Amino acid sequence: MTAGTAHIGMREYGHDAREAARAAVMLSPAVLFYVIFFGVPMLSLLVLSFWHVEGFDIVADFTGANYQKIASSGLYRDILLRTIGLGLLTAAITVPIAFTLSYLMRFVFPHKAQFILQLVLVSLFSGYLVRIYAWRTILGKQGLLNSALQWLGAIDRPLEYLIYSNFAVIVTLTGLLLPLAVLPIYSSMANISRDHIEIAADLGSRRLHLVRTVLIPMALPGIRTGFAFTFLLAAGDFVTPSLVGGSQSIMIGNVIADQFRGTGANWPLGAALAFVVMAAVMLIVIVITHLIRRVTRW
Amino acid sequence: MIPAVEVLDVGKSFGPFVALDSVNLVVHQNEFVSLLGASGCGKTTLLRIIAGFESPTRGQVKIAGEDVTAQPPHTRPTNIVFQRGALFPHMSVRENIGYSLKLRKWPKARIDEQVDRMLALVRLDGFGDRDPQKLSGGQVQRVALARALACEPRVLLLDEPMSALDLKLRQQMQLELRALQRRLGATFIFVTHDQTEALVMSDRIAVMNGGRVAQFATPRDIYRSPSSVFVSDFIGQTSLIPCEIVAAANGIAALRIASGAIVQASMARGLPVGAKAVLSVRPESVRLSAMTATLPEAALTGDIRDVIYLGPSTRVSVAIHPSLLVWAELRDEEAVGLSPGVKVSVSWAPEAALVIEEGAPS
Amino acid sequence: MVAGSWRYVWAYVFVCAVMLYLYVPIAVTVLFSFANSPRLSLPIEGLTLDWYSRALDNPLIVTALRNTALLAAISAVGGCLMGTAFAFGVLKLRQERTRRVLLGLGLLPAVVPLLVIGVALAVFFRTLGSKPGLFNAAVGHVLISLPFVVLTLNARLETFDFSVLEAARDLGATPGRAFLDITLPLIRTSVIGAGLLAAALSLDEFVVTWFNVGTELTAPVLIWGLMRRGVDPSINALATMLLAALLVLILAATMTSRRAPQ
Repeated sequence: MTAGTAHIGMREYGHDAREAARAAVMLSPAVLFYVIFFGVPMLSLLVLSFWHVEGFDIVADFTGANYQKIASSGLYRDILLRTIGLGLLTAAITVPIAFTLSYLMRFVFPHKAQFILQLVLVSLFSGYLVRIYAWRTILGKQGLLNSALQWLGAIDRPLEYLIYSNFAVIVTLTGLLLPLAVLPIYSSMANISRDHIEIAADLGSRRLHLVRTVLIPMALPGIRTGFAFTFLLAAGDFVTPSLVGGSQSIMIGNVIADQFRGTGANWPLGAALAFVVMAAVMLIVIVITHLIRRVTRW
Repeated sequence: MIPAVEVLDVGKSFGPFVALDSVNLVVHQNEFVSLLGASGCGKTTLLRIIAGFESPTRGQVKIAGEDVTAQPPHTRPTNIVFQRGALFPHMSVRENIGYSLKLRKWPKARIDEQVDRMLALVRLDGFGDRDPQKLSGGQVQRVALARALACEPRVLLLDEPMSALDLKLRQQMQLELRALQRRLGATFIFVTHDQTEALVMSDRIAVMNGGRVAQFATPRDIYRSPSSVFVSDFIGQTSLIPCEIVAAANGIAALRIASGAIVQASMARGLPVGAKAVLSVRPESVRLSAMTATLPEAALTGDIRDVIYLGPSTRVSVAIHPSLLVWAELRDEEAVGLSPGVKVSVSWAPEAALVIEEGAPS
Repeated sequence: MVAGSWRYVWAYVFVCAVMLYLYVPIAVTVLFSFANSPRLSLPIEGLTLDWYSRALDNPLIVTALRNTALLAAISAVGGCLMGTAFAFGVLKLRQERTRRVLLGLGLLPAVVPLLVIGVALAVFFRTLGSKPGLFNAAVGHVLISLPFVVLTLNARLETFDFSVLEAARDLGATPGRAFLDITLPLIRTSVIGAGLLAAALSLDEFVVTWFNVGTELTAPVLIWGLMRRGVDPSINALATMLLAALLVLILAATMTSRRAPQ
């Protein structure tokens, strides 16, 4: 590391105290901003989750009442379970699609990979609300899909379950989050050289076996990130269920949002719900990645 | 005359890692000095300390007698040529070369004139308006050289500037660089890991190892009288044979080696009889002859292991003891009849072999 | 070979299907913003610009667009300045581990659900006694654009050859001069690209805004309000205009960063 390449990389750059001071000056605005407007708010949310509401006032004390209420209420438990279920299902659909797309980009269409990636990236930034609303247009009772199917004669009556249903929520969330799964999975796959695949093929690995023993383990960091992204962001979304979901697809995000901007607002309860859902998701992500690693080990 | 560069007891640590451990080096004016060593020996760190990119943990750097240890790179009268040129990709070749002059607020006409002179110097006339990204590797290094020389630094520092070039081009540029340095009469300090490069170009070579200068001498002295086992092993091919001194007179010592044979070699430092030492002998000094029955018992003999044909010469390894190989480099006609398994006697002129103290500082 | 080419066809179909999945919603929005039936169903009978004129007649739209533009500009400039400085600062650090940890922390807001960021900021500002409004929303916008700026700039700086900076210093440039002459021209396009990205994120941002903007309006907040009220094709017109602005910003962002000299 020292002699030959030292000055090419930045590893050796900025060694002395003056450079360290300069680095600190450059880092400090963003670090301060993060601490004040991200760290402190997250902490205040956590603190708030231990306070409680009396009448219309928030009382600053330390009580686990909100968490108790969440644990003991059948309603919250159901909604929480549904949120996790829908989030998992979304991640379980999104990640394989993203994996397959990344695989095809990397090994089947390597020359078009940059272009495809560009398309995926552009879609990520093009209209969050707009795309959710568009799915309402597509999946609606009189919507695009139903009228197209009727016109084709495939169905006589509009399919009711297309909109205001868990189906609609999953279709929409998958569309929204797919790019976020493709990016980490593709970039971890970009590091796998073709040689690895060809060597494994030479050694007689059958296709599925190859995917399980070579590709998935090597792309695991990206898969894990993509899975965590989609699961967490799906479980934390409240716009999708409120625009395309039905009465049976209220998610914890809706409940949290209502605690902050609804009529019967209860901020401390909302804060506690937010931490419960994040903790639950985190826990499940850890368990599942462990499982994936064990399944793909041999 | 005031030395061009003085490095006085310089040390540098990165945390617990010691990159340089007390280096002393005095470079004369108009001298071409190479810092030679394997990667990790501290040669690049030393160069960067002279340039001002690293500050030494201790010690002092003087340029033309002036202490510059605390000076930042932009006020030092040194310029550096980087390993991969480090040309400014958004500037033309001309703007690259003229950059230091622009900073020194030279008038435009004078800058143009100097840039043209520099382009001619590195034989790139007419390349001024090129985009650096469209130059070949060799051209990039020439432009980097011209850029570093444009403001006529007292000392030019070169950090393995040819390591990315292919062999032919490298050999050609070595000669050009040497000629250029003679013509300009400037002081060059050249970092390399390639011993041939150092031998070809340098007035003096500082062989570095483990953050220290193992030997600082002319190429001839480095090759002929290495001061340590390390230098002897690092420079050129050499056979190193552990031995014990049995007698010494007039700078020639008689030595016993592991096979029991007694051989002779020159000894610069007077080591006492009975001392353990290492015998260093260059392959081109070794003579081989087919075994005759009349050899004394103490003569050195062995079995040929490998015969390697190299074109102009043939390299032969001889096992003089189960674990001890001696290499010989022979001209074609000398190698006739030698093949693996043949028994030969091995000899050399005592002046051509050297006794090195075993514990000599590396 | 036949089996191979079939596999190729399937692969092609799969990629196209995924692209359709991603882009049909966008296409539908644009299409229906021009369709003259208010029912949003097929077949489309004729084309019209009525929805656009209706959308633009909305008295709230001017305020919403002005606020949106203001927020986008703030995130672009604020996110860029802080994010660029941060990315540089990270690279100046000597320890690989410190660098990785800091970079990871810098990206953290991107992996926390926007809902949580939104309510956390709302709690924070309420504790401070700061009334919901544009300022609070602007802080949220900068916060969520920073990770993307850091990511973009870091990717650029990873391939940045720092020896050109040393060369400039060696040739006589002070640190400031080297920054102006060398660093800035070399990273300018990436910085602009990151700024455009930040602007696009801000333009599209709804969740954090909604919890912090109070009674003020931005374009997405306005669209949300209209959506909640029911089917109204002028939403499609508004959405298409927003999409067009986003597309311009994103394409400009990718173009500039691709043109960056390596």
